Amino acid sequence: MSLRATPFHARAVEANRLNAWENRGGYTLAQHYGSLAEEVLAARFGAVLADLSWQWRATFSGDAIEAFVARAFTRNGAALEPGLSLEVLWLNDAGGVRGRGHLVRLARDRFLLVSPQEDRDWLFSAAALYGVHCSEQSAAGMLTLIGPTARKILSVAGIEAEPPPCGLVHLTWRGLDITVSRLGLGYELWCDEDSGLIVWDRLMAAGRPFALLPAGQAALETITCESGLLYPAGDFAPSRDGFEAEPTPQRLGLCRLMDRAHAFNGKAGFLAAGRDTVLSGLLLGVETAVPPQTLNHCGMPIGKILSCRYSPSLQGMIGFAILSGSWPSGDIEAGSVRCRIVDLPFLPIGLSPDTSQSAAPGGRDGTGGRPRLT
Amino acid sequence: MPERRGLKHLRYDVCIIGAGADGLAAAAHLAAHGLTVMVVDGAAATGGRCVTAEFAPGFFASPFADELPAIPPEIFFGLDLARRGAILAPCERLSSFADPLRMAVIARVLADASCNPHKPGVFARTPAEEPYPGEAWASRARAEIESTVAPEALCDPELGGSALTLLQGAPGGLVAGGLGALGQALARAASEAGAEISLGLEVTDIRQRRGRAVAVGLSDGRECEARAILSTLDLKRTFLSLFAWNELPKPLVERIGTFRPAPGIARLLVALSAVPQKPDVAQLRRPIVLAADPERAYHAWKSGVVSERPPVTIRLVSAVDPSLAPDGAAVATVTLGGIPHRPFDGPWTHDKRSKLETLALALLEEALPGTASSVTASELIVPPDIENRLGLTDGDLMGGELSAAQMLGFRPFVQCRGTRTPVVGLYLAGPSSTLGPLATCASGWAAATAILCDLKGQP
Repeated sequence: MSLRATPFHARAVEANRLNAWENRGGYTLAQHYGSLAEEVLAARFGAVLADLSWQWRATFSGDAIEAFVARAFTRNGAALEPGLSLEVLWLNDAGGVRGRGHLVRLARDRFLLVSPQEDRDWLFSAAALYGVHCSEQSAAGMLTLIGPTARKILSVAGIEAEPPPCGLVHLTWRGLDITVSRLGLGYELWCDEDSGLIVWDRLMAAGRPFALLPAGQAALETITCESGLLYPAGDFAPSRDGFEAEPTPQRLGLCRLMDRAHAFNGKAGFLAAGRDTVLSGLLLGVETAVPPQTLNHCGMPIGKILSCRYSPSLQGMIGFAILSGSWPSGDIEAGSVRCRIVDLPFLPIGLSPDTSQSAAPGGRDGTGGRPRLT
Repeated sequence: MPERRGLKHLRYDVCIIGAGADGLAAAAHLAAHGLTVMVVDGAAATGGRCVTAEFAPGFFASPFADELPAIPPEIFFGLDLARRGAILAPCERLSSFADPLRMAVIARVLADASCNPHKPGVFARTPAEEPYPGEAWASRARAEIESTVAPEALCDPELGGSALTLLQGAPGGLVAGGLGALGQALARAASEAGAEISLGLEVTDIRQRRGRAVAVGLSDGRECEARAILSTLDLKRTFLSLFAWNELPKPLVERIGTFRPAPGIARLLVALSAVPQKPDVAQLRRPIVLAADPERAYHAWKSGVVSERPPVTIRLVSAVDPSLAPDGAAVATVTLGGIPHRPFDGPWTHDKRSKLETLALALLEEALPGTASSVTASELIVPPDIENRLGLTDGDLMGGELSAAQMLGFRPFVQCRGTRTPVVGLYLAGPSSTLGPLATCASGWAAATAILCDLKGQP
């Protein structure tokens, strides 16, 4: 299979000093340009620019579009105002999670889905049942700009328009038609395939006094994890069988993305899958990654480790845990490894140290900051 | 930042003198184990050298160092410092040659700290002590191993034993917002664990009863009793300022009096109206070390003069952390090594400071051409300024020369190695202790381990 190049590939080749590449969504992408730790921490000191063009994007339009999005996704996109978005899941008939993405309302009769995982056949077939027209937009370029100086870089570059949180704006930027959005950890800039290099160059030039570095996909994964978000491309395998009930939203700790008030595909399966779970953070007292396994407290299972990785910012191993019930205070064990449960995010991005204090563990008994199940 | 609290009661398990990185790390560790802890510091803010100052309107820098020796990862992670606001950039490592040895020394001191040598009821003959890791380096010259010498650890690289300067802690990386963010994170860790921090209050003396340190006198006239006292001040200030001379054995006083200071440093903080231009932006993010003759600079320092070409490190700190300068401007620091505390011809005067500043600016221009025209403000810090602001004897940030007679098991001297001192109940952490120059927070952590072992029988 030949790998495709994103609109920013030429600049990635110039910047990729270590020639470290990876394949994602059929595209060749820089894994890291230099030091992974430096790229991760640049997002906390200045800003990083990363290529997201590998994400799958599809538009849906038609008269019955509201009925389709209400049925297909776990949160009701039909209630969105144009220019705003929702993070959604879509389930198969049995309640297994097929995918996760951002649903953006572009116009009254037009929606855009952005997802790390392509699910063309399923969604396009479902849309056809409603007479909704579908098309892919994956050739366009998409960059993300993350960090405390991201806003200043955009201003210096001449982009003053500020999209609302979970929203986007279209604008003409010195002769280029682009879209700026805030769907993830920072800003996303969407552009035509042909103008990718111009956008990259303009942003890098504007970011020179603001400690802007290009970041590879490995750094992006780590930043996402430190920010308390499961990295969709790597943290779970979606159900691709229409009648397979696994993985459930409960097993992935994604119950917050379920809107019980409206009818969506797979709702019966979701409701039958059991109690809600909570996605929580784990600080692990080891230097190497721990495989997914059961979490115990005093020998009693209380949840499960989903994934873990090294955090250069925290200088230790961090992970995600799915907790299925309440638990008493004290240390938690994963096998022989002692862990501590903390609130998510581990480290919010782009906030000052004073505001990040809210994410710090609580009082001297070490029990503060633990999520409570309701 | 923890507010100043009045002392609720004057009896604690542990009294810690100095709210610097080592004192705060020790306080967090001890309080987390259920001991009542009070930290006393005469300064108005916590952190010691971990401070960030606005030296010109809108321009910030850490006055005493850009970065400190790395905090051991287990301490950094254990105290949750990142989540408390201390985000450290990865640093460009010049050498990792000494890393395993440094870690071995830290492990040795921590192991020693967790064994109580005075445990009652143990009559077994004490086995001969294992030599400290790295003692083989005590006869080696630094020049045999590495040619570059950092301004902060200046030595004569041809001298036997100068190889031990390589054990000085590897840089831990710039802190987002300057070193002050690290000081605040440590203070949060200590106060959230339950330690009390009392600022603006000096310790006037350490009081002994029956040969044991049992209390400290405070500048407001009160006395604070404690089962253990931990000093994070340097060796001379601890023993020669806080004890009356006739309270300590004469050989001990004489030994402490001969403890040699390390070569001093000067720092120039520079505000630039424009960001210097270099074709490769990555170069601006790294420290720039200008070539110098360390042997000449070392002997010039011993003679009380400043070398014409001292070892210099130049750092454009705002290239890594833009929050330190206004938009479009920059902050640079120039660190010069081999600066005498008291020049041979008398104290630091305005003229001498001006000459040193001119030298530093010329070196900055050499490293970053074109910066001379964009300098809008600067602040020079020389060793007496460091002594006044931090209370370090001779303004010596290193806490004593890194030489064969003052390193490893001989630091600060044999009877005081590790963290316990000849005065029962008194513990020493900070720059003069064995781990002081090797890693940030490690000496405080080791002292806390020793106190826990001695008071509670816990390692």
